[in-house]
Amino acid sequence: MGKHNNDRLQGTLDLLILKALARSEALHGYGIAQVIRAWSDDMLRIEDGSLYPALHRMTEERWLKAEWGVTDTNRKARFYSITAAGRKQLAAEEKNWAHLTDAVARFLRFA
Amino acid sequence: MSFWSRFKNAVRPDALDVELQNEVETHIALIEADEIKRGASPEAARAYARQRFGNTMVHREVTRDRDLFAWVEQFVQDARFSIRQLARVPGFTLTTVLLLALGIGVNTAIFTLLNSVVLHSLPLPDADRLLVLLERMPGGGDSPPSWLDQKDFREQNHVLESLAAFSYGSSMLLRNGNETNRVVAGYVTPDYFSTMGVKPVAGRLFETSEAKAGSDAVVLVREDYWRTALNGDPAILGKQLEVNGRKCEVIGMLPESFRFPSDTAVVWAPLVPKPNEASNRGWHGFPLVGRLKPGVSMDQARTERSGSMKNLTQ
Repeated sequence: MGKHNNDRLQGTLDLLILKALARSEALHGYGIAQVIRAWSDDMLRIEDGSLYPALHRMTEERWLKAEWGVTDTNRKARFYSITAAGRKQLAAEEKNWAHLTDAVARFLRFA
Repeated sequence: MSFWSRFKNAVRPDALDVELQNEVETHIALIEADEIKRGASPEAARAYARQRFGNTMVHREVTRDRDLFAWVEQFVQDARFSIRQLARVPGFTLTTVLLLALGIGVNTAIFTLLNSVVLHSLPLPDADRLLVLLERMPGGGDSPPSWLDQKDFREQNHVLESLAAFSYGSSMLLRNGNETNRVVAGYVTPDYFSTMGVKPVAGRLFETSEAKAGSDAVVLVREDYWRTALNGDPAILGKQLEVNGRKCEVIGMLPESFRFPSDTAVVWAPLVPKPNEASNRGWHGFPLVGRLKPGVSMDQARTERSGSMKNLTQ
């Protein structure tokens, strides 16, 4: 199957996850969801479940590293952390994002 | 075998899905714990966790095989369409669907069934006696039963004259000669067609013996698909098509009007659960369709099932 048509949206989710992990220790999925919610003042309504396809894909891409650990409440969880390749990807995604929003902003000014 | 295990990631170790399940369960437990800490009741915490996490089944499937993404979206659209259609037929959910537990979010599979059977008025005998069986999960919400629960249903059942399992409509790669197409398929147990009351327009249906790994290389095609995509090949019966890279014999043809589990399903193959799915009561992957015995009302059936459900675990 070819690239999915919501690549942009997917890229945005990647960006959020990478950013969340770039600023902290290894986090489990719920931790990442909490960080995204907190930073976006709950403006970004992402179903928590949709993080997992992204996390697994990004781990395969080796942007993230995943390790099993135990939560405070003694539950098994996979903890994700960002790799060097992930940081590179983050820089690229941030740049993309800036370009995109810049282009849209310019369009809105002149259209 | 359920649909997600049939696709390209079938090569992945099964442990992967168990791990993912652990991950998802932990996630939901953490949301609940935080909510309770904030003073929510356990019920409210559970409801919030479900809503916030989204559809766990779908997410698990998607994570397991991301290429299913497009299909899941299509399915959601189909379901939305069905819901809209459903809204035009007032009151009929009461008479045509048995929900073992009608939770907050009604499972989309039900709508698919109704869409197909009722709204498109499939020419099936006594379609009003057909129903979908789901389970209420301990935490609330509905889920398809596990394979073992399905077996228990069969043994304990007094209200259904027949019962069959199916997978949600899923896609498969179908190769005929040099041409490969992605088509929507239904994986079903052999008693599926007799339960629905559908007869082949040519050839035969699945034998019980074909619901076993190794002897399940057989498919049925929908008549209009044969006419168009398969060029109306007069020698189609007995012909080998390549299904997800595996040679399968076309043994029969179903009427164009038969549209279940999905409106777009054009191929059917035997449903063979993998050993770990067949033995795991936590693997809720098998929606059931049943046909009420004559003279048994939906209400009677509902009472009956909620009684015997108590014996089942998870």
